[in-house]
Amino acid sequence: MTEAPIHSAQALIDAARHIADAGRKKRVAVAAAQDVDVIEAVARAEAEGFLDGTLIGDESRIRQLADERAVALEKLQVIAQDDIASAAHRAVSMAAEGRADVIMKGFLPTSALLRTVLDKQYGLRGSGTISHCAVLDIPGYHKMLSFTDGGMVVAPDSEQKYQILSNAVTVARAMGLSPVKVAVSGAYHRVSEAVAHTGADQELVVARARTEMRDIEITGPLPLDLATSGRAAQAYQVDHPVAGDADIFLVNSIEECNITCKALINFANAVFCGVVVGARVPVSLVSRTDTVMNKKASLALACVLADYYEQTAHWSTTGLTT
Amino acid sequence: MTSADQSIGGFEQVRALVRRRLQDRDPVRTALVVPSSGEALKAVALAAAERLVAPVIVGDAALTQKTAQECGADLSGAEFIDLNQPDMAMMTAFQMAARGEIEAIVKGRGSTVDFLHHMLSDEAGFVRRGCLVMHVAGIRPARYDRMLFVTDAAVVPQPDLKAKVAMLGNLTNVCQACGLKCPRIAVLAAVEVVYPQMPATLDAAVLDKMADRGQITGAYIDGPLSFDCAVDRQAAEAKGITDSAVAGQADAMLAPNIETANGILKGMMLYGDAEVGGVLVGGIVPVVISTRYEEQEARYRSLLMALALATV
Repeated sequence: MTEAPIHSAQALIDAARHIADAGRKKRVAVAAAQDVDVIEAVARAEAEGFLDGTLIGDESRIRQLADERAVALEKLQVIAQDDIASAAHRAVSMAAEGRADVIMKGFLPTSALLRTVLDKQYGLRGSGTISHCAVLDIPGYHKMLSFTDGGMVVAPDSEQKYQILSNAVTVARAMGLSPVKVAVSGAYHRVSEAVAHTGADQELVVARARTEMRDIEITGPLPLDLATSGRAAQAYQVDHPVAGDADIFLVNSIEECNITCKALINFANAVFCGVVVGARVPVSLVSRTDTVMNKKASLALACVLADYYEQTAHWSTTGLTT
Repeated sequence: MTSADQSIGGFEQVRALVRRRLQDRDPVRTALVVPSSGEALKAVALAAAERLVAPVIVGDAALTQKTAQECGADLSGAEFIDLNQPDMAMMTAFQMAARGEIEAIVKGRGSTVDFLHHMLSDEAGFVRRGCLVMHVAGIRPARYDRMLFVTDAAVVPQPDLKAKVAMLGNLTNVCQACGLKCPRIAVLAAVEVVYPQMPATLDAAVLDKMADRGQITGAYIDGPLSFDCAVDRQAAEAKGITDSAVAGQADAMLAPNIETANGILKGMMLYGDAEVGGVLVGGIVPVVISTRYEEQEARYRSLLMALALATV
């Protein structure tokens, strides 16, 4: 568990390293590791000392890809498992048996990996919805901002929205944030019939979070400017602890999340990292278009979250569905 | 086409276009409504000094003079319609526009939600039957090579396919008014392939096909496109999109819903090192609304977009 709140991608990487230095280095099992970007990301993170990686997949292909990009594999364990489904099974089994703390996606569809992770035989299912939490380090904002959900739940109902929020709050707690400040997205901060279309759902989620979650500040609807700029919030006389200081931006649609994040990545130089939350172990995804920094920060985020689960015995209190 | 016609480098180019068009006509009669906002007054006064606009101040005249004095905005030559009730001032301006007495409207102080309410009311007569009012943001991010016109961050919450067809028409008009003959418009979604479970991708594919068949004209249209594929050629090529007239070089974007467009706009205003403006279209004349913390420069840029539309 991290002591100081994490407010940047670099601090996230440092936190993962501190966890390793404290003797709790996280073990990452890569499913179908024959993906050069994944191999490189894991090798780099291993070289920086914040994780131990196991590459499971087509061994000759893995070694060939590593050679092509001059990535040293000596420190990484490689387990030959050519068949993609078997590789996924092996990685998930390692997590189920307590021999891996993080599962990472390699050369297989996200949906195939998640299906395996959620297969009841492994006992890795959480109690609720699986969601993706994107955590952005945006130059000009004084802390990191999480956007969720941008990849897993296409049209969440209010129960799923609540669980998506709950997953993001867990990530925020793992990052040492207290209280966790949540802005529920909306184009206007005043609810108006003329422009609202998500009001009822949002109100339910906000009301429930206020009664059921401890150590949280939540308000909405807030547009991005009022959520992250004190000056903007002041101009609109929005006086709330979350205004101008949000940790989580709970969006209304997968499109809003994906597109707003990409605008910030493409044109605001934001460092992007993300993790799939809701299973008993974090699932890490990186994509080809991620920068080296993005990939490293994503792995660090998964390690920090895994450590939080371990140190707080998170899943023994939250409960698993079997 | 020359390269200048193929993209708009920034607001300076829009300003030059407006100035050129105003060489052989009078300045644009522009109403400033509920004018007691220093930043709005300064923007309008600057445009008046440049002979781009002939200001008509609709609101509390005494308060306006006082505010103008405090912020150093020169209102000599402005016409005043003294109305100290904001609701009345808004309604008067919309009705004047409907009668053809005003060519552009700039909102000063007050709530945008209230302003929109008046604007869309039957009593104002400001929106012709069948016309769709929407917001187009003009954004010039420092890390892009051109202006991006994005809709709709402010009015239409969750457009259906029919509304999106109308929005593409309005968006094309704005781009053309600002000097772009055939804008490259990306219909945005979370992904660049069609997934039946994601309605935004279905609408985008339909709009793309409607453009193919000549049902939507005046623009190159491609969708669904993810944001990165729309503005980054390498990202598009990595996804196998190689034959698009839009991917990697979008001039404009239709977002699937209001929050998405708002997220792009606010993200760029705050963090994109971007020059930003915006205009409401679909009414009888173009209308400028601003966020409360926008300064004179941003309001002036928005005004330029409105003037480009008013001088076509």
